[in-house]
Amino acid sequence: MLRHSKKGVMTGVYAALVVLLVLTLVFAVNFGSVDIYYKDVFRIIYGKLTGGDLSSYKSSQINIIWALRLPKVIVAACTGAGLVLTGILMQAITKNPLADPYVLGISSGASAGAVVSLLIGTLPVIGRVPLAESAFAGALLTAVIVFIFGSKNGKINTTKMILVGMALSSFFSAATNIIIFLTPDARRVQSATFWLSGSFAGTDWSDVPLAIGVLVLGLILTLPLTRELDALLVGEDIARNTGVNTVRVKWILILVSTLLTAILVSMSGAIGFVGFVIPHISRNIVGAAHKRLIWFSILLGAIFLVWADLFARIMFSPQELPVGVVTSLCGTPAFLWMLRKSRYSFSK
Amino acid sequence: MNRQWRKVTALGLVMACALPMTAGAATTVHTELSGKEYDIEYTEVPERVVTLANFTTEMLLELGLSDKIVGYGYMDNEVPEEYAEEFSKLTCISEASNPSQEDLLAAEPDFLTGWYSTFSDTNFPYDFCEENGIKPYIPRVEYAPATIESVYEDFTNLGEIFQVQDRANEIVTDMKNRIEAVQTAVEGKDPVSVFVYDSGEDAPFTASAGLPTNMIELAGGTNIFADTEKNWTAAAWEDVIAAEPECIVVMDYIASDPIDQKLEFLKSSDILADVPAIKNDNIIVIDLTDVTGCYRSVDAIETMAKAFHPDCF
Repeated sequence: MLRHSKKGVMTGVYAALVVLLVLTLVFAVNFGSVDIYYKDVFRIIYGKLTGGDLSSYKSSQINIIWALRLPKVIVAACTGAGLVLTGILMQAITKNPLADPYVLGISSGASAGAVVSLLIGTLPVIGRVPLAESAFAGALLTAVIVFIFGSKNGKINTTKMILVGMALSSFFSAATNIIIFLTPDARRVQSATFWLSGSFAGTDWSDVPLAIGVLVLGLILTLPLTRELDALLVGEDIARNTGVNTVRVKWILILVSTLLTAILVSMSGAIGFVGFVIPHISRNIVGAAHKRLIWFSILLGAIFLVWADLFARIMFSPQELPVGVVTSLCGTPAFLWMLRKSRYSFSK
Repeated sequence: MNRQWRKVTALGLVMACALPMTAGAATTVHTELSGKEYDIEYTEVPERVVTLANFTTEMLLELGLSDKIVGYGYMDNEVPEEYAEEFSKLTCISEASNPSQEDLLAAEPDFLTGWYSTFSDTNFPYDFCEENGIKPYIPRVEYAPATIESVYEDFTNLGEIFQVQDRANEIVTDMKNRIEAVQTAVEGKDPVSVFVYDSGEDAPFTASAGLPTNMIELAGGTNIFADTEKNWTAAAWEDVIAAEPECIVVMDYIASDPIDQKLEFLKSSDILADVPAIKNDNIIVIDLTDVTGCYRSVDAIETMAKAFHPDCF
């Protein structure tokens, strides 16, 4: 559609997406398990930002809007963007349309770490294990093993890396399942499976700097490499012939992907489908050239995940669905429809 | 003369043989399991009981049947002091979760009771029990909507099955009296809004439909999450904050996080700081067994009533 559009048109498209994102954020903060009048929502946010007088509002309302919902939608937007960025990078590095952020097994490692914290709770020597740190440790462990086994003499062998990733994914999934199986308390198991499907239920302001930071870092490191990404997609040999330092580029891309995935999954669990499907939908609309693909996709990803989180919060209120469930349920029909309708091409 | 005596003796013998059959009258309980309906007949008093839920174990102890227990399953809480000694003599056949079918059969039970899930297809379904000569009893309190009446029904049923009707009636009457006393004390008072906190930091796990909510009502309160279909459910902190509960009931059980940790979490959470129950430190701790249905449930109702309406006691 917009494959060959000029730069001016694209800027207009990005602007429209940004506006849509802002509207989405506003909408998502207004709705939730509890009904709050929209004018109150704005006044509370304004009051908090300007240090104004909020004594006329019930503290429960202020807490719901400011402490619970606002950080949640911001982190959801960053996570959507981050997962999509990682998906694009993994699809380019592996030259495989089936790749997603979790292809290197990072999410399985994070899940195993999370389950250790949620279900075992205390380890000898270390004592009580906090959730996010435990998940991150699991992710990091997986990453290290993948890097060691997937590279030789400092050069990355992509196929090997993916194979190691898949093997570790199986291993950590099994480890996660054993821990779940041996836990006697059904309630804890339910809270663990809830986390594993991905959820923003526990998000608060302390997560916001990390989410924004890691996304910005990822973009800063990746955006200068869009030409290299295009070249890599065509083929490594060709890329090398055109002067791309494939070894260095691949390392940067894999490190960025790993860091983004590890941090985002540690915060909110392994949310599936977003990092896989949004890049494909975007390619269908703007083409596979990475510069516009990345900008378009991350905005689309952010919007998508904030909406998905909103549905997860209100569909079965007061119960909250795991957001990963909503992304797959809603994303799949859209994706299938798109595949049917288009002449989809992965690398053009 | 001899023939007449013989006839009388014969008749007497026949009657004497008939007596045992009428003395142990059969009890039938109509029950549903995994979608099927059963009428389970208990014709003989069981001698070898396996109990796989904390509350059923305690009910049996309360009915004085500890010498019939050949095995019990994992416990949620410590047994009350008055039964501690008897309890220490019993055998635990599964430390965590349910025993395997092998381990259950090794105990040679003729009667099995526990949670509803004990009799699910993956554990000990009806056919399995029947094939192995085990009479199942699924407590009425496991069926929605459960109220304190379901607990009375369970005591009465067990009383019939084990032929300890007097003891069962004693227990039920005592429970009814104590609850009536509580009801009288809190009569006319506005119900206090209550939040039941089982566990969970990202999202709270709470009690909804079922016995805990009924007990709260009897104690003069109302559960802020009473209106869902599930017995226990995960909820959202938003709803807790919006409902502004005046009292929080925290569940304590062995498999869960230590109670200090849970209380610490509630008291130090920023988002919950303005909830009335936390501001006024109106938080009480109840054992999980108390809300799953046994004699101790009455203790819990009294404790809750005193916390909800301290001025009535």
